[in-house]
Amino acid sequence: MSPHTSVLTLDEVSIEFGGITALDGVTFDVRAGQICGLIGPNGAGKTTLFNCITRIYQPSGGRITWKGDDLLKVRPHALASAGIARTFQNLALFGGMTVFENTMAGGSSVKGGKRQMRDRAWALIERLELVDVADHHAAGLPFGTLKRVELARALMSEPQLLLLDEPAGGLTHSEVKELGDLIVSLRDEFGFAALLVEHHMGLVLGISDHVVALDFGHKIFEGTPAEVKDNPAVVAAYLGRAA
Amino acid sequence: MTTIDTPEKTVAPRPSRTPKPRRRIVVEGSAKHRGIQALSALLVVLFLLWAASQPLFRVGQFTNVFIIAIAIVGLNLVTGYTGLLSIGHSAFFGLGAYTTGILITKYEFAPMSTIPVAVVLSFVVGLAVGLPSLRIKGLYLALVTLAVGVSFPEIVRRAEDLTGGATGLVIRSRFLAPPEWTGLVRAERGIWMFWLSAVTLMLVMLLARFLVRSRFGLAMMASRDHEIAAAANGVNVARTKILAFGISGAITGLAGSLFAQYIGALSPDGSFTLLKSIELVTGLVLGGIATQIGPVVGAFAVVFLPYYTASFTSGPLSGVVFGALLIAIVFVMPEGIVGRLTLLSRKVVTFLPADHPSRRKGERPPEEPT
Amino acid sequence: MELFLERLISGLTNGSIYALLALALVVVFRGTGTLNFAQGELALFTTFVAWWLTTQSIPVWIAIVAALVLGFVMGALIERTLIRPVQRRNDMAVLIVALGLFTGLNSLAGLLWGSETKIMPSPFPNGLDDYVSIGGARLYFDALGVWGALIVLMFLMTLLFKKTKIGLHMRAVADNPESATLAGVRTSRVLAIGWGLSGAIGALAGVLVTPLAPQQLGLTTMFSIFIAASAAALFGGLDSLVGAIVGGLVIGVLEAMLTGYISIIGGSLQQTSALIIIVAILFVRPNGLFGTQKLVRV
Repeated sequence: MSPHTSVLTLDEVSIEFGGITALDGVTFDVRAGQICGLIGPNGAGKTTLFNCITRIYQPSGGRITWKGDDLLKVRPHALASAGIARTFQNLALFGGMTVFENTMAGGSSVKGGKRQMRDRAWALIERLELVDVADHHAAGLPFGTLKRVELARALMSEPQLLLLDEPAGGLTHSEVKELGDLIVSLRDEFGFAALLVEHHMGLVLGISDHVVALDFGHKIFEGTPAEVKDNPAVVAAYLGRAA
Repeated sequence: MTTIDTPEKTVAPRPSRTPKPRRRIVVEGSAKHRGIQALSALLVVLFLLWAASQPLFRVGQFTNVFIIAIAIVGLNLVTGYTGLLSIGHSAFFGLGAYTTGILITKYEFAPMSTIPVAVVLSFVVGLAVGLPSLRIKGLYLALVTLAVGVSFPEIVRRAEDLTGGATGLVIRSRFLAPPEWTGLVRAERGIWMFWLSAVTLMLVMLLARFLVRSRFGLAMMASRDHEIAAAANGVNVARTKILAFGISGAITGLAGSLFAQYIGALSPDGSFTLLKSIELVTGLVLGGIATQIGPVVGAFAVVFLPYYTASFTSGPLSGVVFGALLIAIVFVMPEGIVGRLTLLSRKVVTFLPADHPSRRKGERPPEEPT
Repeated sequence: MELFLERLISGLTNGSIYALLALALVVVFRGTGTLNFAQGELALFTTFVAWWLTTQSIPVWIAIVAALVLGFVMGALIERTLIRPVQRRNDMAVLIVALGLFTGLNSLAGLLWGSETKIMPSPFPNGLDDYVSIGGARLYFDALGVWGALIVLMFLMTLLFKKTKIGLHMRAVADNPESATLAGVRTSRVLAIGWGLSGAIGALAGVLVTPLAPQQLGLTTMFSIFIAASAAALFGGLDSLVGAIVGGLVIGVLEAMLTGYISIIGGSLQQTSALIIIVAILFVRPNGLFGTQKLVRV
């Protein structure tokens, strides 16, 4: 796949909840190898859109295609084998399993022999500097460490698209910078595309190649990080509301 | 490690501790490791030989322990590893037992050949019981398993023609004679059941170990710990839960089949009531949820405790002790005896997998995390 | 016709007992979010104490009041010392503690007072002639007494929840514990009172049901009642008081009618039938018939 072809396409995606239109005709795409940031004030519909992509919600209108195929036909547990992995806002690790086991579990959709899987798991654990805690149970490890475990687990299935759900939540300023650098270097190494839903402006503007802004379920901006800051619609959306 | 004790996530990094003395490292698969395993196996064999030489009544007690241990290994799969509490496993135990009993007395099966039938039947019923777990969770599911467990004796009592109803089913001992190839006579049936149960227990434990360390094991534990994340990582949670119930029921049914051959007389209110389910759960929790040896330790406790407490009073003291134990364990040792021993042993020795990165590079093995 | 009426009366009486115990279950669930699996055995234990007091020549009514008080105290104590510390962990921990209580209380009763069936005196006149004739059927006074107890309790509960401050606090805690605490409600006290109340209601159910022939007081008395009460509570989704009462009465009447008219069910499949009802309800509505859907935050 040549770089910059579109891998995830959203076309006029809309969804309603009991009369309230949460998303209205949202259209944008994510390109191969690209980090796309999705921003917007609270209630803009970012999480709703995220949930449509992760197949928790079914849009009432529009299409979502993944590598040319209709994503809306795919059930949540088939996402991993389709090449889409995700992290969770509140960290959804397997508390009763060790870091190593958590990572291995990320390969549940992968057809591979034991040896192959273990090698890959160890490689990811080394890459994410988790060797020292590999046989530690996930429950009880520091928050920052757990973020990296989630990444290791997500990367186990060799995803072509990584969905990141507010990864900066709960981190200190310097930890966010580290996380940003880590995501970019992982992308450079593994070549996946990423969709990043995030409140932390520093992170989004710092690592995104492309930014999409939502407000009240509409797309109000699409462009580069440099263009976002000065865009009047975006500024108004954030300042005009108690974020 | 356990499902009774999942403390909240820490938000801030933990304070660093003073470095502890280095622990001994044992690499899995190394000569040292094999040596430890061989030694353990030898101890087990010696124990079995000693136990088999005890008076017949003791031999019977040990046999009972092995059978209960098999039942708890089954329960552990669905409750310990998949996180679905079942307080109705007595139904599988009873199903296995009555299948064997009926096949021997009414259809003249040889005892050993009833075992596969009991296992398959229990597997199928287990799959069926697993179905509600797709929609029903937590305490509601426990209620459903309670329903299953409590209905079993009622159904047995009702189906009198088949099961002998409330009066029970007796399997005459001549039908339970040891198979010819063993060279044992009918009177030595106790020794036969002892070894049959011991060997079956070891095979079942190997099977459980294999399952837990396989992909399916990861799927079970992932479904237990976080269903949504499990699905996001490609685990088919529904299929995992149903299969877990099926396999779990099959193993406990196997225990039931052995039980029928061991005890020779079945009655619906004897060993197949809610009390048996509670006994199994107590053994599991006491021994150690989601551990591999826990079921055996729990079985010993659960069989020998009532025996010893009975000598103190005439009342149901063992029930009080079990109740108190269950509560105490949750507070004091939610990981169970084996869980606690494992935690303690980790302070002294680390088992390193052969493919651990530090070994490849020839580095020092990891220190305890600060 | 009289047979029908007698079955109906019997059904309503048993149903009232189920409704009472179901109420106790719902009160606990609303406050703590758990089903008190040991509710039946707690009721059993307090009923044993009441029985024992009557054997010490204490009048029935006083023994009953003592049982209610004991039920309240034990309920509150259990919540404080055994349930609250473990709640923060997960569901299974609470269930196992409840299982431990279930076994422990039942065996303790057997240990202290033996396992033979005991005769429990009734607070109402219950001789063979103590009945009223309705349409040819006999409505015994003790049945009437049970109905009366349920009605009085319903009245008191409504009063409690709608008109008193503590009732308001309990509703607040049931709805949203964090907000309630922020609003100044003594959440811990409310939780303990909730369990205490439910312990007392359970005790009431126990002392009312045991004198009714053929119940009497044995170690297995309360278990089948607990099962039926759980089914009844589920009718209302475990958080509806009205649902619990309706559920209890419906199950009681259904049971009486089915046992009477369809011999295939008969007495011995009573529990299985009640439990089939439970499974059926949960299958259709995993959070109970009128229960609120739970939202899962990811």
